[in-house]
Amino acid sequence: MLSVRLRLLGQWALDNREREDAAEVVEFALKLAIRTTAYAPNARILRELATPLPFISDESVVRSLSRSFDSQKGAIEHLGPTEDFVRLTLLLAQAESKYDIDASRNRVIDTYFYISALDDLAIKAGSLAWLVASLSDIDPQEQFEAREGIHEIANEELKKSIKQLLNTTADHYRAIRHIVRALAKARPDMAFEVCQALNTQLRRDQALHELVESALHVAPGKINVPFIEQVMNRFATPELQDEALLSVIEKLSKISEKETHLIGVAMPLINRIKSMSASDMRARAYCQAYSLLINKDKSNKYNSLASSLLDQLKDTWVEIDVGWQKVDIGFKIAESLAETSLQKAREFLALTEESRDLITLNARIPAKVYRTCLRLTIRAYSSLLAKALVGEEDRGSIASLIGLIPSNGEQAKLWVELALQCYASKQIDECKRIVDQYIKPLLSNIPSADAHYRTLITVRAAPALYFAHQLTALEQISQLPQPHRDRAYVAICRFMLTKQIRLNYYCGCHVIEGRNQA
Amino acid sequence: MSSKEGIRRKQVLEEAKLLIAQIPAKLDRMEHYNDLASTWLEIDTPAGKECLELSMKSAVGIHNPELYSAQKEIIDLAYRLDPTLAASLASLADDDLARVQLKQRIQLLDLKKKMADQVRSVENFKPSSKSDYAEAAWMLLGGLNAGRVAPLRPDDIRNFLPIAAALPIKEAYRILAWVIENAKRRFSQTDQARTYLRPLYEATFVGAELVGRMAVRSSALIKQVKFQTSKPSSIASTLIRSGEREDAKRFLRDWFEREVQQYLKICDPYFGPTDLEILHILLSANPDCKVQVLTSRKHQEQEHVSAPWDESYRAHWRFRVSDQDPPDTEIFIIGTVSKGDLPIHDRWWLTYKGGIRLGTSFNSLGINRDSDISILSQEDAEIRERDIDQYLLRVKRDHGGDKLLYTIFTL
Repeated sequence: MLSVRLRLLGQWALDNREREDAAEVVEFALKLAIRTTAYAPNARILRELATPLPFISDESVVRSLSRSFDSQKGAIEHLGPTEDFVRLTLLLAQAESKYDIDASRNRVIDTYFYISALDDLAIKAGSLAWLVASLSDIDPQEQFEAREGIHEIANEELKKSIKQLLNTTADHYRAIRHIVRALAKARPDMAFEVCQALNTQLRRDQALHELVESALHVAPGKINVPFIEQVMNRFATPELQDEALLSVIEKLSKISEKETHLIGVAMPLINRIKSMSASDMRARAYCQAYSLLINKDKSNKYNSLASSLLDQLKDTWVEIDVGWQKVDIGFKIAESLAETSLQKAREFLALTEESRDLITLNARIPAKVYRTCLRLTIRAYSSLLAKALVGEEDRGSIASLIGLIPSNGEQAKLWVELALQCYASKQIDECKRIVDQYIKPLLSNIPSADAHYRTLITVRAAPALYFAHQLTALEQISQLPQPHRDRAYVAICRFMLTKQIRLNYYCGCHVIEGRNQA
Repeated sequence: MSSKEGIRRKQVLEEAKLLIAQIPAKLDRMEHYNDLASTWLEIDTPAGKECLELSMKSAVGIHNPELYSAQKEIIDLAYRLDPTLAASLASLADDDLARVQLKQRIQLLDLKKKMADQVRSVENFKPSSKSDYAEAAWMLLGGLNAGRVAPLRPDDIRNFLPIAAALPIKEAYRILAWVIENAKRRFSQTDQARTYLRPLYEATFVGAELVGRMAVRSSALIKQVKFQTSKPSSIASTLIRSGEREDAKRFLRDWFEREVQQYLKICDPYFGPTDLEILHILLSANPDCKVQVLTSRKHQEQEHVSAPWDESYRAHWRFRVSDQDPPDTEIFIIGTVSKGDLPIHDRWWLTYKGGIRLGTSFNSLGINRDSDISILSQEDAEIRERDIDQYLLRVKRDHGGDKLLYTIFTL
């Protein structure tokens, strides 16, 4: 498949943009793309392939490759994506700026006019963001500014477009996320400002998360740690903050031994790990931070901190509620520790194996298959409720099947499903019995260190808790952090209105039966 | 609704349409047109159709991964009204890939319709893949839940079960959930609930139980494989250092007294006449214990044990070890024809519900180098014993195609 080959070559070009021999690969890929008539690569693939151009030192090679890319522009312009088409022209301008500044300037001006003519504001704003971001690479001395004032014009145009976009759309995050992505590295302060202008807290946090992830698309040693720390302070949604922090720590763990000065700068971020709410992410972050301190710091200055991180890593890992997840993460931690300390890795491996041997459904896929089968059983069980065809023995049997699952939370989810089926079938007492006998104890058995997971399960359980005991449920829900509290209320209202359970999860999507929702 | 209110409603919708046209982000505009169309189609079909067309035309020039989701919504809305309208709207898409995707969507909606319309013969359907049935069943389940689709008769959905059986559980679930929900809605309030629904419940229960058992068995097998391919998982071990032979003997005597029951099976490819001293210790600690020793032909040859081997062993016992009769002991000297190797390389001493693993042969223990003795769990010991018994019972006749030679005698 030519498309797959070209995509792979494009990915290679992205990852190896600064290699001396990247030109050979780009040339090969371009020839491959041009000589085939059966498949037309779009702007994204060509843009990815063009990524190494600004780093190629041989002028004649750059000229030749630029000509080849130019010859394809007419064909790909209508295929889009438009932003990738713009980025391609900006890459060519950047490559050209090293040997022909006038040609580069003309290309930038043409690109600006092309963007100005776009009729979709979202695409226009995104393209302008790429132009503004690229100008600092194409014309770092701002030579273009004296003649055309392109820096200032593009900047102002972008600000105006963003303002208009925020004034005319409801889903601000979706409208500006590509702008944040474009500005994250070259104009982080501007991107930060945009993030803070969004219309809801959740969207602001989603944008901040996007900003951190995009700002990390640099070599590990070039991470702007103080800026990231500044962004971290603005999060209000713990799970998004956790994800962003984990990405930062993972990236920092890849710094070279010459960049150890970053360890000291990164200390405030490392200190944040203990406040991460999701235990699985906390464990992974501790692991990466430990690797960073032990592997990269040869002065042994941070030995006692590293040792403390390792202790906290163990404590966190022990408290993970979902058995197969614990095993999975345990093996990953052992793998990661093996790079720094074989002995510690062995110890963790032994702990993980011991934990694995204690539980039956200790791998993710068999556990998922089993839970899926149980869901079918629960659905069939619920069909017997209306005519009271369920006996004590059936209740015991289904409890023993659910009890096989090595997780308080995952068991609770299934009981919630059954309790709500009972409620929908007007078996109110049975619903209450399930809540009292199973759901509440299981919720309280989820380790307190796995607080985030307990919160998620409580949200799931909210309708069942509410229909069993309204006052205590509302009291329990009021203790949840936002936005989970609101989600719990929404779950109750949804069940009241539809009598349907939003519990089925596949492919990472929230699924309502018959309807997939991202 | 009064005619005055009807006019006002139309004015509001017209106003909304004008406002939507001013939205500068096309994808956002499309989604608003779709929302407006879904409201308008119920009131004024031509106006709703116009909204769908406007929405589809707004997509021209957008190259956004989220575009398909909005286009799909247009097609779904149009299809409910008229399948030919859906097809004509799909043709408005401005790129080839989008047209293909939307055509596939229409085929899926056709399939869903046929399934809901109780077309009994699956052969009449021409979906692109079995996965389409799962997707269509999922949509039908949504329809059942929303009350838009009536439950079908069992005979009309039975044909889809073999399709589910051929799919991965993730997709099969969608068909099976639809089948169960159908039966539930059709029979749960009727007297036939016991006849139809009880067996259905029992079948799903057995299915779940079976999956649970398979998962447990698979987990146990992994443990077994791990045990056989790596160092055994001992619950405790003792390090015997060089020069601590007396400690080693003490440890073994204690183990014979406390743990060994009924029998002792020694598997050691390096067991020779000089190791018979251990039987002397056993005799004092546990005189009624029966012993079976499994060793290799190769070791006997390397140690130049004189043939016949039974006489050499008996002579060694009588002259070098004890005046007493040895415990009830059988010695199995086994090896491949080519090299004389015993297929088991480790040293195991096993008894009823227990055992130990030795890092070196008894006659070297605590003499020249450090070595350890590990106590095995019951489970580990039993697995090992099953391996050894294949030789003690002479079930195993060759090793990797190399014939095994057996010499068995009583001490």
